[in-house]
Amino acid sequence: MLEKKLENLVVELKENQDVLAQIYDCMYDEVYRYIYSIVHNKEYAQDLTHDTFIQVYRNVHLYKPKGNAKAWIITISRNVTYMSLRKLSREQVVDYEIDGVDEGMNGIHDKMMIKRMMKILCQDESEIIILHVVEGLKFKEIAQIMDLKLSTVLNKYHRSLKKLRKSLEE
Amino acid sequence: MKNKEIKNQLKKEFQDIHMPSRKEQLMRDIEYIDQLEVQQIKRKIPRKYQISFLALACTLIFAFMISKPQNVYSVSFEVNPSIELKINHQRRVEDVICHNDDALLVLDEMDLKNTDLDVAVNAIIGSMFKYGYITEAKNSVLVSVQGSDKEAREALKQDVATDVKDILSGYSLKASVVSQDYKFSKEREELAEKYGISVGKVTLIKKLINVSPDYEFADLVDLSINDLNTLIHYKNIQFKTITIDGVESHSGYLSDEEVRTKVLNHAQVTLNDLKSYEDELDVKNNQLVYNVNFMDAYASYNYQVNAISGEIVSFDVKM
Repeated sequence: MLEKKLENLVVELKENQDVLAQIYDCMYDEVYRYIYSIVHNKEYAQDLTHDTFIQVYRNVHLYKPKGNAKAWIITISRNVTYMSLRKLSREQVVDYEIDGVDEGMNGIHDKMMIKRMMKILCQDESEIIILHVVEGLKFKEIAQIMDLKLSTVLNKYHRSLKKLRKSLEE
Repeated sequence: MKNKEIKNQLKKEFQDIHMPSRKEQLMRDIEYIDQLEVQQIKRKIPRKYQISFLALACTLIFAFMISKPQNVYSVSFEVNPSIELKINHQRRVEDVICHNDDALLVLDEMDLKNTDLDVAVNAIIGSMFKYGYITEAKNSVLVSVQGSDKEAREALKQDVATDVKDILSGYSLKASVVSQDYKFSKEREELAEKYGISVGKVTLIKKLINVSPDYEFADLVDLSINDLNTLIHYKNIQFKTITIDGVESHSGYLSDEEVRTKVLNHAQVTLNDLKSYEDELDVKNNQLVYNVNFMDAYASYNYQVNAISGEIVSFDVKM
């Protein structure tokens, strides 16, 4: 239902810029969570979330309606994030520091499973877990977003769950 | 804990994470971007100057039509797929040109028009890597920038070359990025069209021939960028106007030792019998070859061995 609504909104955005506000409402928390899982810094993730929606607006004319607006927005957020990380490392500017695993989660609940995930899984693995389990994307969409083979995504997904299970048993 | 429980727990914890909405700021920024773009298109001109400006604009348009000015930059990427982007001063893509069939495959259904240059570079290099045109064994990429303003095109060249290198290092691949910039040349444009390659590759080959006049243009035109890069490195050629960042891969070529074993086996000469031996990387019929000369007590031998396949292209024995 949400996917259909999002698809319609993205298509409408080509003609009407006010629709961006609705797209933002639908997706900003999801984009933020995903970016946070990569950069591990609240403020930086919030800035990149903002940049993501600017890019959504600027590039909406390139969107081809195929029922995957959510995956398209997540792809933009991934590109924005990695481009910014590359730029930061190239310029060696440390505007943002990486939060400790505990920071950035303060004031909500005890995020035991997220902390564990960030500790034991590598970047690719946690991205796959978040995109599938939390954002509900299909493995095929994840493979496209991350530019990986479908079999690699599936392998990494199952391996990650196994790692998490094993760490909980210890 | 079962997989299902782990997934539910993760989902629950993530769904509790929220960020404060910046919707109002976003909408303000969008409005600002729109205004900026509109301002760039139509600057407010005082009425008394409008007629003069109109006349000037007409003259400029006429001059543009007859002189084909280079008011946009061209950034091309050549591996074997050869793709050229025409960009404007805001570094947004205005046109995409595929110089060969491989380029069409790389671009797939991508529509890069009106995207920012860095987004387009990311998409093109990512796709070249995905389709196996850039690998550990073929890690050289040629980046060429054409434009009239020297300073601007040098800055652009440096930015794009760094982006390409960074993107590929993101795929854990150490690339060798060959970058150059130059002004428009009708002769090079015609050669590029004739051979179905980018003007960048034409320029690189021309510069190579300037330094090594023994080569003919047609001898080098089918070599890959990695082959040309290897040749430049092997012959220790330094160019003032070409920057090479990173070492080209040699893993796709035979090593000196493999070549020696191959020719000695073919000539049925043992290492102990050798009186002299030398080999040199060279080009023959659009292939990289090793030119090998050696002697034993009975004869002198000359071999040419394909540097990639190991095939003996020619040999000659003088008793």
